[in-house]
This record gives sequence, structure tokens and C-alpha cells, in this order.
Amino acid sequence: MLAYAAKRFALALPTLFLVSLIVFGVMRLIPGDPAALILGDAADPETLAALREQLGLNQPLAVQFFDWISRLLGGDWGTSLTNDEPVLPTIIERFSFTVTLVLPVFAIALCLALPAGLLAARKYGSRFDSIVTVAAIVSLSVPGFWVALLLILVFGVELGWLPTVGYVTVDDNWTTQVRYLILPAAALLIVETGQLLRMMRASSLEVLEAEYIMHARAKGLPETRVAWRHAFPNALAPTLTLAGMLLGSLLGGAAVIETVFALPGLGRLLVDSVFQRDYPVVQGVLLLVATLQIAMNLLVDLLHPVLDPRVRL
Amino acid sequence: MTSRRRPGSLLGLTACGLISVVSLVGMIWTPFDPYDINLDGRLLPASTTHWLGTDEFGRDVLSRLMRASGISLGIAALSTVLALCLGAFLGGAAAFFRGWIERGVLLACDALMAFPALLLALGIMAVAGPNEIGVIFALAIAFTPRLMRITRAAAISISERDYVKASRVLGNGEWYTMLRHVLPNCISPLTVAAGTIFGTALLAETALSFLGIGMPPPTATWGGMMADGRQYIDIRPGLIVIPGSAISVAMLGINLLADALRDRLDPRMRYL
Repeated sequence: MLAYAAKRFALALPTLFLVSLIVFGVMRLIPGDPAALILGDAADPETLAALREQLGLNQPLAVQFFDWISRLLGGDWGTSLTNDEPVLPTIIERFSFTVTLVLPVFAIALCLALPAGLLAARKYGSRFDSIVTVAAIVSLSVPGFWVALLLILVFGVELGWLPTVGYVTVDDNWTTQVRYLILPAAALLIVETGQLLRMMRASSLEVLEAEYIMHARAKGLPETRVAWRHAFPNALAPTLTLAGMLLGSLLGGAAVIETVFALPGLGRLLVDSVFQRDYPVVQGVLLLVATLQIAMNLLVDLLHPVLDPRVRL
Repeated sequence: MTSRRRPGSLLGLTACGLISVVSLVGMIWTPFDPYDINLDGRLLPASTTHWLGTDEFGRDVLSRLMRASGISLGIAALSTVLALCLGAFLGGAAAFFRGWIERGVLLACDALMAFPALLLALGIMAVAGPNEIGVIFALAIAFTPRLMRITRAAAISISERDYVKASRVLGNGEWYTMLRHVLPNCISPLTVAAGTIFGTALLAETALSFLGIGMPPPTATWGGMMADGRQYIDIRPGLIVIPGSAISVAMLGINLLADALRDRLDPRMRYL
């Protein structure tokens, strides 16, 4: 297992290297250069040249890239162009908020989608299956920001039950904090559960046709045991791959939902930084998001052999 | 797969047909000029003159909705076609030539797929700035890796077929064989994938426009209309309900049609 993990990790390293090269390259495509962005349009040429020298922008691109990488590894992710704050602590603070929002939602989505998908497959063609199928396709078809706005309209504006935008910190009353998170969490849950539900139903249907399921039934096992002991673990693998991708993407920031509800998450930080052309922050967020996704894919790869012994290490 | 198994196919076809007609008509004719500002007629409710009312600048909502459908669907379609061309070419080349070309393409694919599509598009828009070409390229780059992988998988099996070997034996060049014999036979899986990606691209375009990073104002887009209407959610909820419904109907139609297409062209995925 350790050798397999080490091999998978080694395979992820070139991807990570290329990801950092893409992030570095894309940010070098911006009109002007970082020195011009920091000093603004009114800067005189001497000051610009001095800052370029100081930032190492006169060096060849390869030198600049490896210098940037070594600073990243040393924890120096640069300084924000808008507030002069170091980028890394800002990103970590925003990321911790996103984790607080996303992880419970994701856990609930899994708890809903896995049993419902399996049950729909078991009752293929029934009314329950139709409801699950329709719910999944509707969830896939509605834009997250629209769902968020509708929730605000109904529960915030019309009924006045819940706050519509903003957030209070952990230091405040936790019930108030939860009240602020209910609507964003509900919006995320509505739009993210559909994919998991659909995949679980599809893979369960495939598994339920397998010969070992027929064999289990022929042995006289109760249908519940056939479903949960034999079908469920085998149907889980494709859903798990999708779940890993979804979680990686969500941890990277539910950009649109966070923006609608004015929440201080990683996605909103990226959106704000794009508006403010704060490139060091954009660069940092993109790098973290891609690294998270690679890590999630790695984790899923390592979990597969644990769940399904047929997957060879 | 028969339509009995997929009763949604007809619904999907109807929704797509409806949205397509509205888009086409909206590009050549609208009841009012969708960009004509009339500050005396701001936020009017639905009436016989303005069937869906007016927005905060007094512009006719129906006219903007019609024009926006053409723009949003057009951008999604163009970015899907561009991604399809890039993905098919690179994926085909990777499968056909193998070796370092394949390794390089796969590595680039893995690296690009590490970025969630919307966030990658956001990053590219940070560089490109809000403009039509930028949005199309950003979305195309974000969706190319998926199509690249699908083409490669299909092309690897096709490259081993007898007619491909025959083309080589006849003395046809490698590029000619790839473009004439390998890629056209990858159409089936690519069509299935393109259907799904078209829907995802539409959703991403509306999200970018909603965030104000997509098409620049005053261009009418579904996402942009919702972003503008957000401030008036308490007095004119129609400003967000109407464009949101249009996006949802379009997405529902595209998803149902993509499912039907997949049933027909890729029966292995029939349960999805």
C-alpha cells in the first residue's frame, strides 16, 4: 500500500509542476508587468526600472519561475496589490471558511444521494425512481446562483425567516452563525446533490445486473442484504471518483454562491481579486485550488483499493 | 433506446426547439430595442405594452431576454465547437502518434483538469478582461481537456482497425490518415460529450456574466440580467425569476437531449 501511495504521489508531481507553470505563465500574459501594476499608470520610468530590478523581473523567465517556486515552498506567496497583506494568510483564512461551509453540505449530499440512488435502482421504473430521476436532472439544470436568489426571495424577503447576506464569525453566537449559513448551504446542496444521485443510481443499476448479485439472490439472501452488502460497495467506486472531483472543486470555492451571499470564502476572494486585478492573490488561489484537486484525486485513487479489493495496487 | 425509456427526450426536444426559435428570432427582431434606455419607464410591471415589464433602466425585459438567449447560447455553442476542434485534434494526435506527443498531451490534460472549469475560466478572464472573444476562449480552454481525453480513448481503438492500416499501406501520410480516417470515426463519443459540455458551457457563461466577469455591459446576457435584477429582488422579483427560468428551461432541454443522444450513440452509458 505504501509503495502504491508513493508511486501515485510521484506521478502527481509532474502534474503539480505543470500546474504551477500554467499559473505562472498565465499571470505573465497580463498586459504590462507586476511592477507597472503595483506603481500604477503615473509611475516614472526610473522608479519602474528600480522596482523591476527589485522584483527580479529583469531576470530570464526560467529564473523568475524557479525563484517564484522556491519562495512558494518557503511560504512566501507574495503580497496583495490591493491591501499589501501577505497572500498566504489571507488565502488560509478564506479557505477555512469555505471548508466550514462545504464539508457539512457535502456530507449531507452524500448521505442523501447514496441511499436514494441505490434505492431508486432497486425500485427501477417505480414512482420513487421517477422522482429521483427528475430531482437529479432538475438539480443539474438549475444554475446555483438562481437557486440562491430564489431562496433569498422566499426565506429572506417574503417570509423573513433567515438573514439573506453576510456572515458572523465563530466568536459570535454559534446559532446566529448557523442561521447565516442555512441558505447558502441549502443552495449548494440543491445544485450539488443531483450529480451524485445520478451517478449512484446509474452505477447501482449496472451492479444490480451483475452475476454475483444474481448468485446472492439465488442463495436466498434477503433483498436488503443483497443491496447493502453486495451492491452498495461495488456501486460506490464510480460515485466516489465523482465525489472526489466535486469536493475538490467545491473546496476550491463555491465562487458564485459565496458571492451571492457575500460570504468570505475562497471563491469570493478569487472573484474579488479578478475584479481588482490583484494578480498575486489570483495566482495563489488558482494554485491552491489545483493542488487541492490533485490531492483529492490522489486520495480517491488510494481509497479505491481499500473499498474494492479487485483494484490492484 | 426507445422514447418509452426516455420520456424526457420529447420534452428536451421541445425545450431546445423553443429556446432555439426564441434565440434566432431575438437576433433579428425584438418587440423593442433591448438597449434602448427609458428612465421614465423604470421597473414597470408586466403590461400589454411590455409583456414582461421593464428593468431598472426602463429597457423591455422580453426584448432583452430574447436577445440574451441568442448571445448566451451563441457563446456556449462557439466555445463548445472550439473546444471540440482543439480536443479532437490534440486527442487524435496523442492517440495516433503516441510517444512523447501522447505523454505531453496527457500531462497538459491532467494539469488543466486540476482546475475546476469555472475557476480556470475566471483566471483566464482576469488576464483577458471582460470581452466576447475572451469568454469564448476561456470556456473553450476550460473544456478542451475532457474532449481531448475522450478523443484519445476512442482514437486508440480506431487506430488499430484494418482500414487505418490499409490507409497507411496505400502510402497515405500520417496526418492525412488521422484527419481522414481516424478522427471522423470518433464522432459518436465526441457528439455525446459535446452535448453535455454545451450545457456546462452555457451554465459557466451565465455564471461569468452574473459575476460581471463575462460579457461587458450593456450586452444582454441571461446572467447579466439576473445580476442587474438582484438589487430589485424585493420590488420586482420577476427580474431574476424570468431569466433564471429561461436558463433552467434551456439547461433542462439540453440535458434531456444529451441523455437521449447518449442512449442512442453510447448504449454502455444507458443508465446515466
